[in-house]
Amino acid sequence: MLNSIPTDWLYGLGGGLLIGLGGAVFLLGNGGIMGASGIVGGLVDGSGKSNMAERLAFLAGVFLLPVLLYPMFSDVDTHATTNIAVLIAAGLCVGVGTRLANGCTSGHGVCGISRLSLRGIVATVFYIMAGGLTVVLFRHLLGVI
Amino acid sequence: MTRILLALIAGGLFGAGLFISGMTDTSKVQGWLDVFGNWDPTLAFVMGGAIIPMAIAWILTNGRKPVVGGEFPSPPEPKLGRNLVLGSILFGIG
Repeated sequence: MLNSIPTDWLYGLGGGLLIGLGGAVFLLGNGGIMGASGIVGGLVDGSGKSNMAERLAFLAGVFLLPVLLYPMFSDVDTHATTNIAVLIAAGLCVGVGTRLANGCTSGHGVCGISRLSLRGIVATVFYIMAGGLTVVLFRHLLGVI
Repeated sequence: MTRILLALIAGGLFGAGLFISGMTDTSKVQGWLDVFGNWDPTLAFVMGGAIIPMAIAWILTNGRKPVVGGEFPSPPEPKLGRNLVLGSILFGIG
């Protein structure tokens, strides 16, 4: 039966379980919500002064593991656009948007939906819809990405 | 020290999960959002997979304290507000 499921989906499920396990460790261990934008945001805006080391350790793990795993996988690519203007605009939208909404996919999506938080569910519906419309506009109508 | 070690482990699991699931590849994320093109449902599997251990973790918080002490996060705020919607739309666009 497993043979009929695309391997990408299985890797997605396996990777997803690891992400959720990370969130579980962060919650049950440190009593925190594993939201990537919040953890990074606190480093930048000064609100995370009291637990800088914890935030930096989390980020170190986030970057270190892909670096260690990279040689074991073939054909890995971010496929990120090389259009600097698009990258800057996208980065600004992600940064300002996640600070305004107080969360991104990990905080609102994973940690919020898993405890049936209305805010998490509403945020997720809106960012997926906005993302879908943006792909329609930029890929199918303008052909930028 | 325990806090830092646990944060490193959580970050490592998060990073490994993002990498293995293909979520470090923008074409897979855009593929999920591209409902009118060559739609790629992988992200739904990632989300589903992540929510399972996380939901169990929330259940386990009942009647317990975090390992390092302190308190678990307060229950989710029911208020939605304009910033949540506006910010999420901006994030989605990005």
